[in-house]
Amino acid sequence: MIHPIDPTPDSRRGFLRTLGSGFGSVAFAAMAAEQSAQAAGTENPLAPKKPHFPPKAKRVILLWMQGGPSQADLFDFKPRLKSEAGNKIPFKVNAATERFEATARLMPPVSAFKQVGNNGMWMSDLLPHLSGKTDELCFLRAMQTDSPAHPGAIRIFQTGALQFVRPSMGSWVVYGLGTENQNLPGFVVISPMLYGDDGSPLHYSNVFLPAIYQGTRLGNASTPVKDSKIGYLGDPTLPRELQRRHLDLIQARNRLDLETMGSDRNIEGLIQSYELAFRMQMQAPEVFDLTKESKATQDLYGIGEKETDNFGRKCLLARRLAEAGVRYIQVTDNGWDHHTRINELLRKSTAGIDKPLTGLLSDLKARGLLDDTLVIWTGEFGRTPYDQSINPAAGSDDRGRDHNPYCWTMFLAGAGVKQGMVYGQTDEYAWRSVDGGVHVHDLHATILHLLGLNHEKLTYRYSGRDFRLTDVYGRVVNEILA
Amino acid sequence: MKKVIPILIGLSSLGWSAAPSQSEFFESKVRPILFSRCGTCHSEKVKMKGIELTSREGVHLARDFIAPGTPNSSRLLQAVRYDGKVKMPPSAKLSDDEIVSLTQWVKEGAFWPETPMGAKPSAAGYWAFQPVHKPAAPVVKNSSWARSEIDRFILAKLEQKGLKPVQDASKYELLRRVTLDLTGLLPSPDEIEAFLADRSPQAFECVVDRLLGSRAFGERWGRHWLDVTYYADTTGVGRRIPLPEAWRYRDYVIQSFNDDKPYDQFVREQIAGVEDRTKPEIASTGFLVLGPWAWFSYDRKQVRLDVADLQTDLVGRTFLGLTVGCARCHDHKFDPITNKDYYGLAGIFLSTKTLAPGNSEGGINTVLLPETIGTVRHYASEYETWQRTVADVEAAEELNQQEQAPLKKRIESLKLETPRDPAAIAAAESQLASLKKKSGSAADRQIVPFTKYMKPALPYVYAAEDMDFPEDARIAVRGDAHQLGDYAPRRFLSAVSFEPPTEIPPHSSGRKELADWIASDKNPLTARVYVNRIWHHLFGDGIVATTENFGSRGEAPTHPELLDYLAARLIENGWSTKKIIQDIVLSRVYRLSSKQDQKSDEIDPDNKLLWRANRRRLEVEAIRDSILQVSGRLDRGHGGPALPLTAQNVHTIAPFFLEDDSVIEDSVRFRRTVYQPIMRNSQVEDVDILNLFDFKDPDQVVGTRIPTTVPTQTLYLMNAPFVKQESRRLAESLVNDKTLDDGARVARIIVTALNRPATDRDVQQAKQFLSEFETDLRKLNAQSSAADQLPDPRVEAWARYCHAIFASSEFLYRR
Repeated sequence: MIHPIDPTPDSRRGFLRTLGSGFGSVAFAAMAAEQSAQAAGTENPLAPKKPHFPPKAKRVILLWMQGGPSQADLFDFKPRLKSEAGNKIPFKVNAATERFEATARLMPPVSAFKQVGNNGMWMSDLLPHLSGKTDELCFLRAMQTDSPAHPGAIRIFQTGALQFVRPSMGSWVVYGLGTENQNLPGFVVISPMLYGDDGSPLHYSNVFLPAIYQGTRLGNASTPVKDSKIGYLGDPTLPRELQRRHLDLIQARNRLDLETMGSDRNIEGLIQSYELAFRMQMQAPEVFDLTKESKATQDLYGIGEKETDNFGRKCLLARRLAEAGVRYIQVTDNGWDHHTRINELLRKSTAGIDKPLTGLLSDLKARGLLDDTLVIWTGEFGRTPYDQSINPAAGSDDRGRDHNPYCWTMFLAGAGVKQGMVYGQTDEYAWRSVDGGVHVHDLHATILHLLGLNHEKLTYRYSGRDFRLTDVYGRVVNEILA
Repeated sequence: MKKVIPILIGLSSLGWSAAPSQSEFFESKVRPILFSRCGTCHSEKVKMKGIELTSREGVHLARDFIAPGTPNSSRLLQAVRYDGKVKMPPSAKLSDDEIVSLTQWVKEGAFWPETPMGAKPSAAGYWAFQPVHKPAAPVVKNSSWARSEIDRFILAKLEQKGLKPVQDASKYELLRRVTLDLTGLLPSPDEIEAFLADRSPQAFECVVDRLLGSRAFGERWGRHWLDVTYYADTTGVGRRIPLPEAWRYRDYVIQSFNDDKPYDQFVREQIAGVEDRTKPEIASTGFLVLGPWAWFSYDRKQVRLDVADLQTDLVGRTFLGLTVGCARCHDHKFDPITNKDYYGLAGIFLSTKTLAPGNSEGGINTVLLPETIGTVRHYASEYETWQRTVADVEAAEELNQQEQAPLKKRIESLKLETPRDPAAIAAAESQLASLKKKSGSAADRQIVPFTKYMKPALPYVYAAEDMDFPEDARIAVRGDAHQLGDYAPRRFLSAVSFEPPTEIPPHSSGRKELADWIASDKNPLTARVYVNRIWHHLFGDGIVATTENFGSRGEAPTHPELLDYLAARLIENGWSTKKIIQDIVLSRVYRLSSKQDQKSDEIDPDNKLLWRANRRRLEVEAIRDSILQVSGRLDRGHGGPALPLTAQNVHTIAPFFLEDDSVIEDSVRFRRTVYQPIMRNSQVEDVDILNLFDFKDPDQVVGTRIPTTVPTQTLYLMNAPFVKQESRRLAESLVNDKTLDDGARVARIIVTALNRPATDRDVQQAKQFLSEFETDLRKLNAQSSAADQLPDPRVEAWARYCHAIFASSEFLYRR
């Protein structure tokens, strides 16, 4: 092909002129888009909207550890798991509604714990970089959900509903707040699982909210993010100048149509939508271009190192999107479903994220972005304190843990949450929460609260009923608010 | 005119009290003004200048502005009279009548009805629950304009508002419109020519007859029906579990429309099924059993209740236009549907087999299709072939494993060697990988389990059957299947009673009785809801805009008498869908132009009264089908299975599900969109256009698709391979036709895609674009290396021109 798309904007057209490369141009174009939308007097459903009350956070980065990270191996230190390792489980499971193994034996953490930070919290040595950051993090140790199986637990986390098809959290947020950069989508999902056992577009779908609030997907879990693109963003077979010429013909025909038939909001909307799409086509590749970052920044995220390259790129992309004014960004890392060989696989998972994740937090902080960005790290549930190998004689290397919906550990960082906090307690085996339990609905209410939205008032009327992300549930967890 | 009467309001000592006449006055005169003329800016959501006029609370908070009881100091009245600086509504002054009504309302204290806690909504007087009577068409001034009684209903309202219908559409516009509306396809150049040539008064009637008789009619209107069902070729919430036989229900629906099956019978078949199992109608209860069931969930009780819940809601919305599902946890807040009513209906579905017994392996209930000697023979031979295939792939797999074993050992020992020989390891690993690939055992795509899974079965359908022991449901507290309260006897909605209720025999689910009750001539909702759907598809808005909600929270009908007239006509004509469509499209109002008219636009900007035709974006099916039709690639073949169950597409962990990169087979890919596989949540890449252009979510009842205009759509239109390929195909056929000159080529594109003759301006614009674009492409080629040459600049320029036509508003929006 000739002349691949030039990332710097075309100077042929005055309205597309920018302030050079880098984020200046993104911001400028965003402003220009907003202005032109205002001038046209049309209501832009993505325009920034005032929240219900002054927000602490302006945007969200959700680091989604799909599969269920094991709390007992990472954050929730239980000495009895070590001292009673190999014993039968000392608690009852309900075989009718739970699927836990009768042969289960308590299993010790796969690696050593040590005390870190000012509050001396116990942390696994599998996360050495993150261990230096705990004074800035807010851990929730008694998270709870309603389903012990992936599809349901992921669904309720991402959409607030277990059995029914409901809009995703990101769609709700963009519906409530609009977005700051009109040249980029308001809700971007990086490398989600598509289908298979646990993936579904439902997790970033608008469902009955207007289509403009749906998540825009970049790539998928089985492709390195390096090779991922947003769909239909540009035509690699034509140089941009000719693409513009082609669009000019389309627009000339649209205007001819308007002239013939008289004014029509839909056709005017179509004309604007073409211009916006064309601007996106130019801006988005720039935002997604990580080569614009210094070597030092790339190193901070572990880009270029085999283990961390992919997740590092995702995290850096998230920062660039946050900086460019995207409202809600989800970064997926899958492979946390450690039913077997947890000793080996959990090490692999943690090694993949530790440096990039810590790099992201440092970078956001250094740029002042952490002040108004909420970072969330979690999976859909936790894991059991026991190993689930059917064969008790299985080698210790084969062992793994089953799903645990009754408690797990997650953390928040950034805008509006207490730092150096550990909230909630579990029993002596990290099997059930005993205090400070936070249900997924409560977390949703709290996230919306930090964004300045009252979860009971963020409603959408559909088919004769007002719907909410939190349905009839949800409590803002005031205890963790700064 | 029949008054729009509110549901009975419980009046108590708590708030304002009002004589029934006051609330009647409010509902018929005041609420419509506040909602339609003020509500755009002063709704709860927008609340411009902090003033909200669409709720009791809002009006209460704005009492200083409204000044209840003292019209002389009311700033609201000042604004609507255009007395002071503030003039409201800014777009157009209210009519004198409207101002009089508002004045009276303010004078009498700005009454707003309330529904205090504990008050029960009631059916008494609510319009949608009243029997359908056929009203006489009103007298109109301009009687020569009206062609039919339908026209008189429309014209009378227009005349009331001082509106005049615009001119009629041109013959070109009309033919394009009616062909798209009835078949979802474009008229061919021959059909255009024939219609133009036919100057008889029956010319249009002939066209309508032809279209109603075409197969494409059922494909278009069958898809409309599928929108109000949960049909898809997969099930599972969030998963894609294939339903390889779901197409039988889809084809049953299409055939029903082509046969013009009486609607009452269509309703009965889909709820109760058919007794005669030898007919293809056996697929009819696919309506009930196809859905987004989370049947692999561990909590079986809850799953059953949730399935029955979705079915209750489905039947309520689809046939009755009522949000019955709202009464799952409590009595309906706005409509007279009680919690007991809800479980009375849900009991019918709980007494129906939807899912097979068992857990994850179960799936949807199936019924065998009637066996003929032919099918048995065919099955037997397929079974033998399958057995042989299984044996073959197992043998091949074993052999493959044997070949793999030494390689694996070798790799292990190579890894232990010091110094390591990375090249040798890599070579051995790649050899192993290609062996694995050969056997199909790589990753999850395992040929052996897949082959076993594809065990031939005698032909079957997904269908509902009565449970062996039907029983009443117990009220589930807050919809929780583990907190059960009183038994709710199986029954229908108590508020909609038009004849003594039929007893449901204890040994049957009650589906048959329910079907008879819904399909009764006397049911006030069924015919109204159905003709409203038809009207919606032909005009873009229903007479009741909320096609699934005829309850008090839905929109009031714009033309209540016309709605009743149409409902009565439907029943009179033996519930014939084709006859009622014919009635409507032969009216004059259907044939209006969609041209804008400034004056009328100021009075009725949303065109609710139909002073012109609505300009509408084509549904995604029509966009895709028309592009394929114009490019010459559309396969007008037939229905049948859509799902590509191949080893590549199917993930082999039970329950089987489809891979994210599933591909549609070539034999299916160019069929009409209605025949493409429909997934839940998101469609496969090959028909990605469905994901972008407002295709209905298969998990919801969607009588009204709301068209959006978003940049992801325009990115698709500019850049998607589908649009590019079809444009190129069209361009090649045009350029290769040496009998045409360039002017004739442009004329050909315009007439096939836009269904009108090309104007001079079209031709001139095209020629200029083509010559400039071609020149630029040639210049580019001259500057590029041999490897980077764009193929044939002339064809490419033509392809871009065709592409621009597909991407333009005139193609995408029907006039």
